[in-house]
Amino acid sequence: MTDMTSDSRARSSRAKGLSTKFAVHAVLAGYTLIAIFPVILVVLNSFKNRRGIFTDPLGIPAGETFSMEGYATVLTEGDFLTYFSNSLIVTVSSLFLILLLGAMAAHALAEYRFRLNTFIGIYLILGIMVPIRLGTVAILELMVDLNLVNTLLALILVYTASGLPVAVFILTEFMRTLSRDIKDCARVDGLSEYRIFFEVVVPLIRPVLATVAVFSMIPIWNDLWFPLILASGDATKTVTLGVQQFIGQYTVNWSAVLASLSIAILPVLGLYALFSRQLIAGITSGAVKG
Amino acid sequence: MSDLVLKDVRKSYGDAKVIHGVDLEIRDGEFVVFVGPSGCGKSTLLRMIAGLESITGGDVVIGGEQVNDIAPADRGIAMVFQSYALYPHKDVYGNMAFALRHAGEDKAVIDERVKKAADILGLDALLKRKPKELSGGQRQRVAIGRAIVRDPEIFLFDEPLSNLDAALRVQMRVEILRLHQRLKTTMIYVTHDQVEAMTLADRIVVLRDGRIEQVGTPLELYHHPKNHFVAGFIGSPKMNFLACDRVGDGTQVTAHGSAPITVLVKPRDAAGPFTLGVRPEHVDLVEPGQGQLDGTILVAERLGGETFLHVDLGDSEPFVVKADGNVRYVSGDPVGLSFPSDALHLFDANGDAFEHVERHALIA
Repeated sequence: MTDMTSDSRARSSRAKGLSTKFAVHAVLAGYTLIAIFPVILVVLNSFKNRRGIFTDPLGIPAGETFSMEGYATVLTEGDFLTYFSNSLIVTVSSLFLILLLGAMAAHALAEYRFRLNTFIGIYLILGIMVPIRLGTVAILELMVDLNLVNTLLALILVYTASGLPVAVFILTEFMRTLSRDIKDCARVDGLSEYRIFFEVVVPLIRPVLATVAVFSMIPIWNDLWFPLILASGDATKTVTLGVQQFIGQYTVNWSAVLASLSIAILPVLGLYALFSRQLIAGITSGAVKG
Repeated sequence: MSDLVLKDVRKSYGDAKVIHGVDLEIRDGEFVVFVGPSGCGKSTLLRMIAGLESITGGDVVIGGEQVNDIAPADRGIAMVFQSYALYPHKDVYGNMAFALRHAGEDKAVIDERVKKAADILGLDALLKRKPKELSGGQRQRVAIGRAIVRDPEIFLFDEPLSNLDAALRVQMRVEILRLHQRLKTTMIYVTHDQVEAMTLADRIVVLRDGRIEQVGTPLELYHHPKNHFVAGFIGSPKMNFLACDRVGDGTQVTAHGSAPITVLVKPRDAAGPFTLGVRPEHVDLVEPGQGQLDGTILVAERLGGETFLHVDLGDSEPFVVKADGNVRYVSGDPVGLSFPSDALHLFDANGDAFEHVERHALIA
């Protein structure tokens, strides 16, 4: 009797679990679809000719609508390879600087007791609240004075500055949770403060570094504002700026625009895959009783 | 030679004084335990010896050399932390070899020393494991192994067993003791657990509020506590304290209107009120009216081999008696207490103990 009731209860809870699971997955799948739909549309239409794009925007590229003309234009007209490498150089360099400087600042704030610690912490984090674009004019003047207009360095510096506050904020919070003992142990083992940072602290915060990297990376890659203002020369154009040449005042070469956008997705996707491995590693290492 | 000498060592954080002038000499090869309630400064003192906390005043001298401003790694010490502090991204071998690799030691030498330490601690089979794949006891063993590998002059242990469960703690306690017998290196061990202190130490340093209360062998502290605090801290269950009055020539007291109780101490002038200290194991149970004091049993805690009787003498705290496991008392029974005069302690108003007439037989 008791067996039966417990058995049926188990069965009903299993059924309930299944329906909740289904609901959860339905919501997630729906969200994924909505999020990814524009991307699919971009990629689909990049393989069509102009007529194909306008007559049947949702159609699968096939038969006479299929065309590689967009890609052909992108790869022959303009200097897309340069734009690409420009974007990559700027994004990767800025990310590297954001992570390195952000982590070092966070380590100092979390680890050392010194006068003005709180003040400096607040000062570094204040940047979250002030949009860097408000300072565009001043930044432009500064870059002109420094002779940095139309250089990638200008972009790297601006992105590093704008990315640091959030990085410092998140990393400091996380570093405060690191065990003090392990750093003291490294000190007893004879490591210098720099080596403690690079050999003990950095391996411990890798998952958080990956998180910061992922969401610092996207805005930098996608930014149009600062490349337009600081580095619009042909040699320093980034991908987002390069795409603009296909958007004319009267005609827009949609095949080329969509093709270039499709190509532009690839590097970020690659970087994301790189970091997300760390993300997952971090999540599971925490889950399996560290 | 690796004698450790602390000379008037002080520590303060801003205006807050944490250590108020500690003087201590630790001989080469000695096992010294710092014990005290939490916040007494014992860990701070250890970290100052390690070089992890700056020294506000006084000197730390290791092997005749003042080391106040010498980096932790150059003091010839190794430290074992409460939280093990293993490097999670390195395997057991990597953890143990880390310090030596940094010191630029020869690969063969590192290998030999790691293998030897692993052998001592029974870690041979685990060298390729990551810390997260180890149990608590194994992790602590790795942490100790990491200290051994460095071949230090002084081992520092900061509550190393606090994170382990009770059974494992007993086992690791014995292992640490055997390690000390084997290595014969100076060890300084911080704990708040007085059983660990009693079982491990050659000498115990009892600390309170940043001051040394007493230094001595475990039995010395047990039989001849210098003051009220040490008497209450060492021993489990803790010593009973009764307010009392001195009568006669000063070696007799009465508590709760009892018959005079003789305490074998050297009489001296001191101000009252006085306190009589009686350890739970130094009380004889007799028929009511036959002893010096009568009371009523409140609770009998039966542990099998022994029984802790909580006796109501009219104080706010019950008087605890450690009795045989087979006593038949139950709650509400009247009971007489008889105090053997050679095991009693008498404290004056400052909490200072009266010196006993004779030293305990086991203490030279």
